[in-house]
Amino acid sequence: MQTILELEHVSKMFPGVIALDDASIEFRKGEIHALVGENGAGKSTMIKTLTGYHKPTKGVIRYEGKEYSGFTPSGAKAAGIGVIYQELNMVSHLTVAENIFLSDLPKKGALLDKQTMEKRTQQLMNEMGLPISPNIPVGELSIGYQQMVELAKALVTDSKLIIFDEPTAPLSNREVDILFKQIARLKEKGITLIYISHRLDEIFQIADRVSVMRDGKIIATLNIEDTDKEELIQLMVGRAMNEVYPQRPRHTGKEVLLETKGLTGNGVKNISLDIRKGEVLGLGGLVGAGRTEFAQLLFGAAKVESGEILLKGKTVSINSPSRAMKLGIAMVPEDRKRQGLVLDEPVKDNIALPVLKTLSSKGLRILNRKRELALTEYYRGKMRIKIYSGLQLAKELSGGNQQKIVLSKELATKPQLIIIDEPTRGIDVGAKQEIYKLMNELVSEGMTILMITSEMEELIGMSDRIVIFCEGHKTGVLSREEFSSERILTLASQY
Amino acid sequence: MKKQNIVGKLLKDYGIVLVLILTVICFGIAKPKFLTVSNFLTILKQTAVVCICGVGMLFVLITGGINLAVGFMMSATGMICAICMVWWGWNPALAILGAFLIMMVIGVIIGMVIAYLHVAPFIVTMAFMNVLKGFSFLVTGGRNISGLPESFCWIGLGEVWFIPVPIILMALALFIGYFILKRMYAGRYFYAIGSNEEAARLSGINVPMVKIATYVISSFYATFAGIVMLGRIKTASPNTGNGYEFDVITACVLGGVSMTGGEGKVYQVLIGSLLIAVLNNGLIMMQVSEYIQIILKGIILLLAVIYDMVQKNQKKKVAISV
Repeated sequence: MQTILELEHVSKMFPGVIALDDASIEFRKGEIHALVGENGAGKSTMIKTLTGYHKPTKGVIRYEGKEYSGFTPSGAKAAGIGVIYQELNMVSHLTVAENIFLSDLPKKGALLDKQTMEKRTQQLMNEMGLPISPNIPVGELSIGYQQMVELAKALVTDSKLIIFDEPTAPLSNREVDILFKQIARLKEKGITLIYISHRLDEIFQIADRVSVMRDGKIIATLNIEDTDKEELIQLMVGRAMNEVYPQRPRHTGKEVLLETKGLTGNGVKNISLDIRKGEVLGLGGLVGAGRTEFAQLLFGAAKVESGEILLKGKTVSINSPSRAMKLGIAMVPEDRKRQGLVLDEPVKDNIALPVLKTLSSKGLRILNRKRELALTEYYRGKMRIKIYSGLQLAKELSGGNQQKIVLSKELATKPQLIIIDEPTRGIDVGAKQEIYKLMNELVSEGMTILMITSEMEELIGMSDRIVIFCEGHKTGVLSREEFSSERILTLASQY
Repeated sequence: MKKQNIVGKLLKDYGIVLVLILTVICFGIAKPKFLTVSNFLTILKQTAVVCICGVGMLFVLITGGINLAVGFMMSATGMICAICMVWWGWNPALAILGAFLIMMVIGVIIGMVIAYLHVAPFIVTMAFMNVLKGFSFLVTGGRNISGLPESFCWIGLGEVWFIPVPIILMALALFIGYFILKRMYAGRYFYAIGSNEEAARLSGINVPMVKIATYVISSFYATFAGIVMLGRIKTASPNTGNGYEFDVITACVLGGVSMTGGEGKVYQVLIGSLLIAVLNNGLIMMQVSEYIQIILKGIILLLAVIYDMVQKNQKKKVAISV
C-alpha cells in the first residue's frame, strides 16, 4: 500500500520537555490509523506538528512524496490535512451552510451567493446521508450533528487526510453510530484517517492499524488483528490490565444508608433503589439514561417532582446542594473543569470552598488561613496530590491531580455518601488506578460511594452492586455474581 | 531565569503602580507646584468619592456583574439627604440613615431581578439609573437645594488634625472592603462565583444570595460616596452624580480589576482612582482644556481594557503550551 504521510525521526522540544522524541511513523493511503497513549504521551504534539501549529525541532515530514521540515497551519490545510477537534469550532448563530463555507463564501459580485451555498450544502448532506437542513443555525443541532457539520467543512476543502481528536468523547451512543458510518464512508472514498481515542473498544471496531505512544515515543505500530486490548494497555502504561482494578474485600453489609421511593423529576421517572452503607453502588447505562440527573436530585441540584428520599430511614427534603452537604451527601460532578473547580484559583481555595464557614471564627467570620492551609496539607498527603504548594493554581495541574482535588474538596465536607460522576473521565490509565485505590481506601474507612460511569470495565471492576438505568427508568439491579457486560448492555438498552 | 520571573511578575501585578509613580514624576517635572503636600492632599480629597464608590463596584465586578446605577444613586442620595435636612429639618444622622436604607432596598431589588430573573446586569442597572435620575430631577423640579447644616458639611470639608475627613472616610471604606474580601470567609464566595458560577453552586454556595449581596454592597458604597460628595459641594443638585459610574468603572479597570469577573483587589481600586485624580489635577495645572481631558479619559479606559485582554490571552497561551 502507498504511503501518504511519513514522519522520520521527528522530535519536538519545549524548554525542559521533550514532547516528541525521535518519532518515526508512516500512514498508508486509505487506512484508518488509530493513535493511543496516556495523556501527555505526545499525541497532541504530533497532531499539532502535522497541522502546522508546531514546527519540529528535528526530523523530516514526507507528505505525498514531498519533504517538509514543517508545515504552517494554512499550508497544512491547502495540502489537504483536516482536523476534527474534540472541541468544535462552530459559529453557533450562523447556519449550517454558512459555517461550512465560512472560509470560502461563494460570491456573486460583491454579494453572497446564498443559493449556490445552500445547494452545495444540501448536496453534501445528501451525500453524507444526513437529515440536516442547510439553513438552520448550528447551535440548534445536537453535538453529534455539529461534529458532522465540522466534518463536512473538512470535506468541502478536499481533505485527503483527516485527523479525529477524541471525536466520541462528547457523543451519545447513537451519535457515535452516525460518526462511524461517516468514517466508513470516508474510508471507501480513499481518505486516510488518523483516529485518536481513549476508548479502546472503538479502535478495535474501526481501525486498520494502531500506534501506541508513550513518553513522546512511538512504542509500537500493530495491525489491529494481531493485537488485543490487554496488550495495548500494557504497551501504553508498561503494565498489565488486571493490575488496573485493585482488589477490595467483598461488601456484605445489608444496612441501608439512603433509599429512594418512586423518585421522579429532572428527567428521571419513578426510581426506587437503596444504597447500602459501605458499598460502591455502580450506576450504569447509556449516556442520556438519566444517571447524572438522578444524582442531581440526591444532591439538591435539581428539583424533585414526586417521590421520597430516605436517609437512614428518615424522609429528607433536599432542595439545595448546601442542604445535601449538611445531610452528609457530597458529589464529585461529571465535568471537573466546568463544575468541579474554580480553575483560576489556588488549590487551597478550591479545597476549602465548601467548608469555608467551618474554617472561620465565630462572630466576625474571619477566615483562619492556617487552618485552611492545614486542610490542604492533610488532603495533599491523604490523596497523594502532586503539587509543590497549595498556592498552585488548579488549572496548572494534570487531569488526575485535578480530580483528586475535587475529591478532596467533597471529602472535606465530611460526607457519609459521596456521589462520584465519571470518576476517571479524560485521565490516563496510571492516574485512573490512583483514583481507584483512593476509592477503595475510602470504602475501607466506611464511606459509601455511588459511582456513575460510562466505562463498562470500570463499572464491573469497581462496583459491589450495579443499578442500570435506561431512558430515565431503572431497568435492573445486579449483584456481583451477575455482572457481565452483555447483561448490563441488554438492561441499558431495554425499556 | 528565576530572578527575571520575579521581576516580570512584579511588573505584571504592580505595573499600574509604576505607571502612577511615573505620571506623578512627569507632572512634578513639568510643574514643581504639583509636588507639594497640600496638592497631594487635594488629589487625595478628589480621589475619595470615586474610590469609595469604586470599592462597591469592585464587589459587583468580581462576581462578573456591573452596576451602572451608582452615579445617580449618588445624586439621589444627595437629594434625599438635602430634603430631609433642609426641607424637613431632620437631624443629619437621621437623614444619612434614611438615605442608606432607601438605597440598600433599591440594591436588594436590583440584585433580585438579576439573580432570580436572570436579566443582564447591564440592562437592569441601566434601567435603575434612569429611574433614579428621573427621581432626582422630579423631587425639586430640577432645582438645587443648598443651605445644608454645617455639622453635615464637616463630612466633606472637615479636618482631623491636618487630614481631611474624606480621606479618612476613604481609608475606612477601603479597609471595610479589604476586610470583607480578604479576611472574612464570605469574600471567597465572590471570587468563586465570578470565576466559575456552576462550581460555586455545586460547592453549596447560595449564588443568588451572594449576587444580591454585591448589589446591596455597591449601593451602600454609592450612598457613602454620595454623602461625602454632598458634604464637599454643600449643594444637592440632581445632576452631580451624572457620569460618575463611568469614572468609577474606569478607576477599577485601570487598577487591574477584570471586567470578566473573578479577579480584583481593593488596592487596585485605590491605585486606579488615584491615577484618575492625578491626571485630572495635573492636566488642570497644565491648563489642558476640559474637553481634551474627557477624550483622554476615554482613551485611557480603552487602553486599560486592551491591556487586561492581552494579559488574559497571554495567560491562556501559557496554559496551553504547558
